Amino acid sequence: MSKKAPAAAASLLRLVVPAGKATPSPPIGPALGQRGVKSMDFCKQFNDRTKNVDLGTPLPVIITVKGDRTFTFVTKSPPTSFFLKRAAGIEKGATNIGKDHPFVGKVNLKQIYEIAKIKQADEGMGHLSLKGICSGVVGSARSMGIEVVA
Amino acid sequence: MLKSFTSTAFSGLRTVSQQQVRCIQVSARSLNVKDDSAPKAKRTVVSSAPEGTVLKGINYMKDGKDPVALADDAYPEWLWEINDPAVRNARIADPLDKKHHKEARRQAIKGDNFIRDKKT
Repeated sequence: MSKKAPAAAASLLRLVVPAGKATPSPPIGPALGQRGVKSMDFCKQFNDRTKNVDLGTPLPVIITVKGDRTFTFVTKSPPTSFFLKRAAGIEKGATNIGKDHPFVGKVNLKQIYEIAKIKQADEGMGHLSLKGICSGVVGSARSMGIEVVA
Repeated sequence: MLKSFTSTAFSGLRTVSQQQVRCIQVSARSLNVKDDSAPKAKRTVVSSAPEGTVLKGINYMKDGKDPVALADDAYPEWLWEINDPAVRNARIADPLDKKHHKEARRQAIKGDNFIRDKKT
């Protein structure tokens, strides 16, 4: 292994930011500020990159801040719960779930399939089969009190 | 000194009592080949979203539209099984299936916790 100067330590920051609506105020401002990144820079870049997305869609973003305070970021697809709530037409997931509590919404398998297809495009999902991802989405639905019907 | 088991893949070189031993995982399933030549039962599940229904809530891009449902046959077979409790129960009942053992282990832990639970 060749001798190199040790790479500046990079820190990761995970946030969920509404598309097109990144603002320097909390939670983004302090989180980035702590690592010496100008939050305005990030907000401008993020809003620019997400200009094709429906305004306000929550997008998980992973920001890598290098030792020299430069940053790169990756955006992923919206959280599964976001898709499920929209597909079922509900605002919030169930407060309580289980056999004594009724379901709060309903989705069908074809919607699950489409959601899984979107999720599959994410970087971290490359090793998972579409069937596996579908099962994961069904599991999320169950834990939110959303009934999965055929 | 025994080398620690770090990977989940069960193949390659292992040091077992000072000797290098080549191990290959043999799945129990491969020893017991199932006969799949019998024709599969026709799928009885009919989707509640027939072909042409707009699948709402999926699209999140400004210039996109919600996808439209295809015919039931256009979707892979496994899709109709993932929500089917009968399929899951069949796997749990099959002693060669990993699910069987996972479920057995889970129940054993629950039973154990129940016994250990101090009742006031």
